[in-house]
Amino acid sequence: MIFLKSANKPDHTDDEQLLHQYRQTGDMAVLARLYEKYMHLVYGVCLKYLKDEELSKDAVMQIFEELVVKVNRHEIKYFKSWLYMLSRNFCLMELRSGKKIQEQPLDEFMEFAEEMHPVNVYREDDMAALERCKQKLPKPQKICVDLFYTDEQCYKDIAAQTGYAINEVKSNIQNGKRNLKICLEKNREH
Amino acid sequence: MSINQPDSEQIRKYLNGELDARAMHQLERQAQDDPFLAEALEGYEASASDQQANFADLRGRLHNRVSEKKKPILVLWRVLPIAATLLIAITLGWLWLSPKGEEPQKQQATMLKKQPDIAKGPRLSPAMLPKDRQPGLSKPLIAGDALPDVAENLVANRASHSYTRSSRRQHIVTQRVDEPTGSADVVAVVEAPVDASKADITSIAVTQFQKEKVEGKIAGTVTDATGHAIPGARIIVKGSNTKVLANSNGEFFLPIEANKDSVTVQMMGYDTKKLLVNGTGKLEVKLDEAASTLTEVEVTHKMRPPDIHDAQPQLGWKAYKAYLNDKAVLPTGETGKVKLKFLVDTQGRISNIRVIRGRSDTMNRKAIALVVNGPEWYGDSESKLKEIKLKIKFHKTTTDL
Repeated sequence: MIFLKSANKPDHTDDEQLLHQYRQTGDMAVLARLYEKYMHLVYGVCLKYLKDEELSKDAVMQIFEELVVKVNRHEIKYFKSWLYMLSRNFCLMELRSGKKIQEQPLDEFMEFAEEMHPVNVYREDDMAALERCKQKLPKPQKICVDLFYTDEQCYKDIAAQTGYAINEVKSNIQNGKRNLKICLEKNREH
Repeated sequence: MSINQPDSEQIRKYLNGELDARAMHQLERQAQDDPFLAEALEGYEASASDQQANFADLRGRLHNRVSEKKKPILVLWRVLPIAATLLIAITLGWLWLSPKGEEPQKQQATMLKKQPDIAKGPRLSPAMLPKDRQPGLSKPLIAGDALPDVAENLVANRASHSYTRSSRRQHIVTQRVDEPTGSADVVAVVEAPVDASKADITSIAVTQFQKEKVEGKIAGTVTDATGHAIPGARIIVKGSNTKVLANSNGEFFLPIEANKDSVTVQMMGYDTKKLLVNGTGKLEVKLDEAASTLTEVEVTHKMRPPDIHDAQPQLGWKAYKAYLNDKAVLPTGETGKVKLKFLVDTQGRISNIRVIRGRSDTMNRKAIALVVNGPEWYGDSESKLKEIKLKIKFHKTTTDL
């Protein structure tokens, strides 16, 4: 069951403290410290969308400016999720404004559009349901999910074992996980 | 493997294949749960080059951005001396152009240039010596803000030859007195008097000066013909933008220097008054009530509130029901309900009363009488006749509710 839970409990308390401290003191250095924690992620996201290192670096700085403006205007529950949305929206706006038009297939956007904080509580009788749901999965998804979550293998090893490409492994796991979740939710309603 | 957020270093190792299978799996698991990380990884995978230099660059830029804030403060400190210099320059210019500043003032001004730290001394303005002490005294000479050091120079150079230019920094008030015989400068030294007689002059001059400085404005009151204060009157200084309002006690203070200004005092309901400000005495303004008055406005109450459209008791339903409840009592003590039906026309008149469901004859008649002789009704604004159904409940006594 454990594999549907978040593997990492994100350390929100530290973020909250920094955010609180910034709001009280207005000290930009505090905000910068908070931002720096996630800057490599913001940069990575920018790289994904803008596909250019210099553009991405500028975007990271611009996102920080946006952060300065917006951080006091919005109620932020989880800084990390909020920053993720802020960064992504910024990049999408950037693409839309024509600075760097690049067609993105829709499902690439949808791929990670799952909720950031899934409900982590599963009941015991879900176990049986999960097994049933897993049997219903398409075979490649079932294999990849099993290898990834049960055997705790990495993408590379799974790819070597199954003969799928790494990207296929990844999307099989993602889609399998999503299908399992949908299946389980249906199960609970009945 | 740590469960902490993967840092950029770990991501780099992952991308370079430097992590073992277990660590890779950990990171991949995190990415599965964390779209932020997943998208970032995708970005790195796509670019496929080492990003450490870019991280360093970004960190530097972020730190520069954050420490930028301190710069404006530094700039401010640079601006302050400039402002001080400008202030001195303006003071100098004013000294030059001052109409009464003839030869001695020029001397002061030239000396001033040698005194860079002039603005530090306390600012003193000239004071007027009492007339009884100095007959034939003319208006005070205004020497400006930077006067103390100027005065010190004067002391050193002309007024008192016994002084040498020492490091002494004292507060000095100069006073130029035009005597009939010619001109002479009186120098008064505060705290360190030259001699007893000069000290005497000084103390008087200083107290006079303070008084003027504090009350530097012209005070006044605005009252009506009977002497009552008129709060809120507007006092306008002619030829300037200065406008003040009298406070709740009718008092006002005008920040004007010259005595020749004319002011206008206005207040609604009173005649506007123009007067000349003469001297520094208190300005007492009496306003006469304006002959013209506002036209009267008569407010009448319309009988029917415009928002009532349905036929209903004029008292409102609540009060009407209370009335029925109060009166629906028979001497016999008989109880029961009577349901009535009647029509109300647009004038609120009641007609066509029928009993839909009644009890005894007396009770029915009493119920009808209660409605017919009861409180008046509003007619319906839409239809000509409105049918009303009413249930009247009879009870034993008025207290039996």
